[in-house]
Amino acid sequence: MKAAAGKVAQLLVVMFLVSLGTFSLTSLMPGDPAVAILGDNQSPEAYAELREKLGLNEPLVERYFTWLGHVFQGDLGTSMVPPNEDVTSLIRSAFAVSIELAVLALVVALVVSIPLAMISARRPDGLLDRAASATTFGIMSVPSFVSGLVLIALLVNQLHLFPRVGWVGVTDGLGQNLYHAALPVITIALLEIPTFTRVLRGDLVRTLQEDFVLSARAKGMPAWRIMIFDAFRPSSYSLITVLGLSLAQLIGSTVIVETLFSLPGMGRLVVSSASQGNITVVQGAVLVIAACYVLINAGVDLMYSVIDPRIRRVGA
Amino acid sequence: MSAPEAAALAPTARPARRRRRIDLLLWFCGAWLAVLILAAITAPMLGLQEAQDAAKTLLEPVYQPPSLGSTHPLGTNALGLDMLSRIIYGARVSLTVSISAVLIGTFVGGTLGVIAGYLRGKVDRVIGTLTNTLLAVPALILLVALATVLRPSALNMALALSLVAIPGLIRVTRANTLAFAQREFVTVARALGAGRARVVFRELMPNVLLSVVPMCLVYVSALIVAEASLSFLGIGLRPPQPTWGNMIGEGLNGKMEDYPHLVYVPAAVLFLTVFSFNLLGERMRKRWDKREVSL
Amino acid sequence: MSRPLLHVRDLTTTFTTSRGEVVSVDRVSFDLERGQTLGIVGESGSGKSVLGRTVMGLTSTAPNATVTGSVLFDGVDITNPDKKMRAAYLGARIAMIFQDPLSSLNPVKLIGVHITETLRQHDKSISRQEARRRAIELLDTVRIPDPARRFGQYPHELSGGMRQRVGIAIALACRPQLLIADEPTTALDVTVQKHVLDLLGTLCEEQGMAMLLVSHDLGVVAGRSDKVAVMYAGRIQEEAASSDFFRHQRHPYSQALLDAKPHLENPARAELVSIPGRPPDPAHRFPGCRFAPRCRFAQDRCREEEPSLESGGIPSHGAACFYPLDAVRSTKEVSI
Ligand SMILES: Nc1ncnc2c1ncn2[C@@H]1O[C@H](COP(=O)(O)OP(=O)(O)O)[C@@H](O)[C@H]1O
Ligand code: SF4
Ligand SMILES: [Mg+2]
Repeated sequence: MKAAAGKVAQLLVVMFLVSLGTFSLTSLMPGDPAVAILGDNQSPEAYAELREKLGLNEPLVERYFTWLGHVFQGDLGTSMVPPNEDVTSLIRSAFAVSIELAVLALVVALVVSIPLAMISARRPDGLLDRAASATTFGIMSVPSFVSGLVLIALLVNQLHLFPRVGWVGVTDGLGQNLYHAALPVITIALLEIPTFTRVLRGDLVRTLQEDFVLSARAKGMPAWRIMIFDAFRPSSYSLITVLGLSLAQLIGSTVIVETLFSLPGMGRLVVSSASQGNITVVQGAVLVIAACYVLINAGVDLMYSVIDPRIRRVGA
Repeated sequence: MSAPEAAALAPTARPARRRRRIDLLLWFCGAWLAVLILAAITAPMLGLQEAQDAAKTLLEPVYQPPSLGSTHPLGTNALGLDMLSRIIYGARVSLTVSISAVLIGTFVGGTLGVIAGYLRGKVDRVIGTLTNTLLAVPALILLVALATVLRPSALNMALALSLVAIPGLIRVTRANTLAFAQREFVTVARALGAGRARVVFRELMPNVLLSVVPMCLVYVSALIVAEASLSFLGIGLRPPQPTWGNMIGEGLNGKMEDYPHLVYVPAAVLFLTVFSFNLLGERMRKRWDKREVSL
Repeated sequence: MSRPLLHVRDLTTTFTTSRGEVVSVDRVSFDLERGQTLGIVGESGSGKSVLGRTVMGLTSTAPNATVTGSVLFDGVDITNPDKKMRAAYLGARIAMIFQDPLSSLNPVKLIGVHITETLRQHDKSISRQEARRRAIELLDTVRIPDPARRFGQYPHELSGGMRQRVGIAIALACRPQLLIADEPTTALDVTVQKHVLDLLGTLCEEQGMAMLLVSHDLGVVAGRSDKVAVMYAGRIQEEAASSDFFRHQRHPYSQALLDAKPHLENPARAELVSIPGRPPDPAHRFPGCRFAPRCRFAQDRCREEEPSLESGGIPSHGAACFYPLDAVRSTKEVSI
């Protein structure tokens, strides 16, 4: 219990540091935000007025706490670039895209890597294991913008299977939504498959040497049954850690894929806002992304106790 | 029951199958990196075609596809600039930036990790919180945020990239320090009256740093990708300075369909390099694990 | 006379390791009759576990194992590579219990599930309710108090003795004819050991089950076995009816082992203090008797020729020794 409290406290400190970091970072941006927003052929009075409105004349610390106060009320401010939308709603719609991409990609990655890891672990260093390991190793070395371009060349330009760019929300029909999400999702999944496969394979090989696996075999259980019902769950701890980290990292680090396929996700929001000097949006987005990381991490800790009964009883 | 089990039970002796093959792949990767690094270092002396200044290539053919025997073995781009030359100058940037970033990251992350692992307690918690803070922001977002503040120079790029490597290196060095600190030699040093600083820097650091060398190689490849990604997004080092990432980016907007070499040439080079660093790191780690086991 | 339940001939298990070939079980032969118990005793590392696992066909957890020789169970060669046939024997007609009851139970599975899955694996027609009822009954059979509640608990919630009882319950699930018990009590407290061993003995008797009782401790085997086989460096060195063996050991190693018998007050894993030296490195084979480097009675012949169980000259009390200890009489009483 005490350990849990310590963990929560640390996560709060992390959140605080992230917000402080992004806040001060974005206020270090070169140039004058007022100029960035209004363009550079306005009267000096117009700039001064805008600066006053944005609170840029206050000291940094004061601005930070004003901002933080608003954040706690769910108000991330307004975009500094016309049409000056509400940052919270900008982030909400971008977040929906990113989380869908990330979750779908992780599901695809799991669907591929779990069987792959099991096949590899059946006979460590066997032919299949070495083939799988060589393949995942190769995939691991392909950056997503390269694999994305190759997939586009193959599946879009040659086979015309998927649309080249664009996004259709779930609200406009699940079929169209998935059709547009497919290629980006595959591209992202390719990034995760090697790690998942390797982590799970390693743990499976170790678990399969445990006594309880031997005793399951002594009971006459077939190999596939032992793999799925005996070895998999105790071998999934590292996979879950990696899964959590991936989910947290993917919200936002799908920038490349979002750019490649022109998808309106968090990554693109941050990149385009950053290049316009749109501080409020960048701050808000980074804060939300970091909050996700912190929450997901806490979730992973919780997951452990669900899979491992030994922790469950101790923690309760 | 699996086939090898069955084989093991069959009453026939099975000859030991242990081939000592030469690791061809490893040699190939090593050779590739050696050639690449050598070319990058000696680039100005190689008599390469123009890589940067479009004013000098007005008469050169544009979008020429690769043709190995010609003056432009890997072809030219939209401005008639030579791809081979751009690849090699791009390698200078990629390798310098990512290797120095890893060195900075190893030094900073390694020091913090060893200190956290050896001193434990409060220091450990503070460093742990810092690590988590850096990890809380995805690498690319962190880099994008930094890129908007910093001027896109090679030095700034290396500093920003090192921030990506630092949290992971802190975690691993911390874990390895915890393991090494249990070993006899630390106890012996302490018994001989070594102070904390001496134990950390003279006893633990060398061992721990050596143990993260494989991971550093993997980080070099990750940071090459990160740098290329930023250039690809147009927020890294800008053209005309060639980098592998902005070269690939040139193929976007429909040009790839007509001139695939614009993308495939830098992509292949990027892949080979990243693969080689990964493989080197992986093989080294395996060696290392075996050594640890036999110790 | 009917054929024995278990008929093992020249069973040899070799591991290919980086240090070379390791012969962990070397030309082992024995017979086990229905309902009888054979105690297999030897220092740790002598190959007892590998023998037990090889008999069960489980040696291949290590993919580097090679097995030769034959194991006939009820007349059928169960080293037969046919998976289906073997699966029908494992767990159903031959069962095994392991040394460490905690690590041999899956930490994320309920106690009850360990038993019901075995039942349902070997009898597909049995319903969930029926399996549950039988599992609780089995927990009761191995004298676990409050079996219905234990059914829904996890392995870590039980004490060591209770866990090993669960291991026994799992083994008994399909009423096997042969039980292989590999150091079933070594991981348990001394006071619990006796309870579990006595329970095993009783259950064997009740169910007419034959047992291969493996232990490094002669005291565990004494009084609970019909026959005893002493193993050293992968080979059986002495084999006799328990009544004969405990009255009189013929092999110098057996006697040394008996002298070293740990007493109840001592920790369960006592070393063989009375014999200087260590067992030979299994990767490094030498000619002659394997015990010669540590044997007080070794002669030149012992270092040149390898003795067999017949070398002792008395067929009913085999001893792989050229100079068996027939003159010396042991008066030691052994029991636990
Ligand atoms: N998978 C394996 N690979 C190589 N050697 C093994 C393996 N399993 C057991 N051995 C060797 O077989 C010998 C006998 O081991 P074991 O049967 O466990 O002894 P014990 O009599 O204590 O049960 C040991 O020397 C051990 O090193
Ligand atoms: S054969 Fe010789 S060395 Fe071996 S046990 Fe008998 S007396 Fe000792
Ligand atoms: Mg054993």
